[in-house]
Amino acid sequence: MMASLRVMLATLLPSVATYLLLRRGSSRSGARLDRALVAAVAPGLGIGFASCIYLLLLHFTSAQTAVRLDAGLWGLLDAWLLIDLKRRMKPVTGGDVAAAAISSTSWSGSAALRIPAVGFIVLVGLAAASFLLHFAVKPDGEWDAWAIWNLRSRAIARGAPDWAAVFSPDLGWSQPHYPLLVPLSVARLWAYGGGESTAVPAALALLFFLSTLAVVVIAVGRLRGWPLGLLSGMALLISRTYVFQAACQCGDVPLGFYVLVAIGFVVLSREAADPGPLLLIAGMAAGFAAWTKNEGLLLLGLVVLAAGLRAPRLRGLTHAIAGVAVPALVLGVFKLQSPASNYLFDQQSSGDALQKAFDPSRWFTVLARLADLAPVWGAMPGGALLWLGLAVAITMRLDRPAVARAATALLLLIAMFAGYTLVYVITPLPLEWQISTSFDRLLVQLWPALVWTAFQLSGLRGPEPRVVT
Amino acid sequence: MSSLNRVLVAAILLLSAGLLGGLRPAIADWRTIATGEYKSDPVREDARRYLPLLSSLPARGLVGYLQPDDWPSPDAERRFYLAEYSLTPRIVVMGTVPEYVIVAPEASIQGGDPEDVSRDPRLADFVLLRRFSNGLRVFRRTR
Repeated sequence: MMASLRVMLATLLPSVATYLLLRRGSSRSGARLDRALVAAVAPGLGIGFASCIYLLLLHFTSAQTAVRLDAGLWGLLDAWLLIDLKRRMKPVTGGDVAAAAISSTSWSGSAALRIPAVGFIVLVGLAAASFLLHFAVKPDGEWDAWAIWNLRSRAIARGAPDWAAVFSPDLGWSQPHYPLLVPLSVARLWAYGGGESTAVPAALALLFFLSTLAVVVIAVGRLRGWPLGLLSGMALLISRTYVFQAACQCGDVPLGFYVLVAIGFVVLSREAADPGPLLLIAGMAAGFAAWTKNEGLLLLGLVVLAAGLRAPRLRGLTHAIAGVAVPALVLGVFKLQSPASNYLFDQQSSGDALQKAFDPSRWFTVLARLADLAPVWGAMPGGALLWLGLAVAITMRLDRPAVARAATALLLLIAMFAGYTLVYVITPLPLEWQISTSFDRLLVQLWPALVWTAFQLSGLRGPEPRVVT
Repeated sequence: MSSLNRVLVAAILLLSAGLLGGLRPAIADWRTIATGEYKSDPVREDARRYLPLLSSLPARGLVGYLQPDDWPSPDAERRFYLAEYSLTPRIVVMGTVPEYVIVAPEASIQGGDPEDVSRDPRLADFVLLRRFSNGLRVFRRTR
């Protein structure tokens, strides 16, 4: 019981601090960020910051002392931010893109809200039951969870400050080049709880899963209306593959959360009078994506590029880079410290990789295989993409800002998918094996952002939208 | 179609899709629990069998793992990775280069008393340090 409370405290402390920090940033700039949306992104971003700080603490002290310092640091930060926010908060006039939302009260009590609410509750219940049942059957998670993610968490929890078991190239098949956000977060929660409960990695996976669901529902609901927000939440949950991967305790659902937040906020920033706070959040999410899995590096580059294309360029870039700074710094230290190299580059020469990249037959093979797999992705009859397309087609209502929003987000998603495809083309591993063992998880990383993007094209004629001021 | 009807149709579609995809695996997991099969989860069982070895291995560093004859069968691979998972922060590596080597029952010929040299040629330079009730053995290099 006490251990559970300590683990909850370890999660709450950085989540609250991140929430207050983001509120403080938006109140200072005059831009207004939606409270619910900030509350939905704060736990994921907070966990990311906590993993960075915990890594630094473990470099200088034992796990026991690191936990005390960690708790004291976050507690002090929370207290200071609370006092400071109360002092600074003043009424903000005018709306910004994140606040230019359809009023939450305009749909209340209507059948258009009640119907998707019932469906949403049923699918959330089913997903929660699936998650818990899977945990009961496989408390250590699926193969990759214990062979990679939880193995590394244990190595940190048992071995730090000796990092040999975390970075050793001798653990080649356990991917020691993978970044450490998830393993460090689990090790930190274990250190708070005082054990190595299998419930901790599962709870962390559940936190990212629920945060993703909340961000999709709120971000769609605020902009396109709450009935559509709930429908988008249902769309996220129809994919059995997505729900299954959440229960697997691997890094793909956390990465999917960061991809969603980064793409969502960078797209929203294009409509904002002051894009700074939104780009700051997008930068943080992109940085933590890179700190979660190597695929996140591509997102990081895309977000910085997108921020640089948005006028005023320097201001946008400054905010995005400020957001990226902490995770990028920690990732840099990790990459310098870790002798393990990525299989893409240590199992072949750059000449071999280049030759593959310009080999049309490899592109044809990869694209043909992806074209086979994508329509059936989701482990459900018809494939999840078809059902998402149908739901959006039925509720489609186009307006210029929404189309621009969807087009920008889709462009970023296509760029990410193109990057993944290029990795398949140049891989030194057996092509068919690599695609068949990783494709499901790659789409899991993009699925929440894709659902958010698709639902930007939906809209309803209902109670007159009101801008919240 | 009115907004209400569009929401209704989309909600029914998505609910049907979600139930079609999610119900069957949830029921399968439920059956596994109801029949008690989950108690014999091979991951849990295999991970546990390495725990008695902790007292016979160094606290850190490399530990060898003698490759079983059926390598790389899925069972053999799983047991190797579970050895890593259970014994971390020791780094379990395939082969007999490290000073300490773990030998699974299926990996090598059994026989001999403690301190005996194994009849397996791969363990020519090793003595049996300890044999465990689950068949696992730890050997230590003598030269």
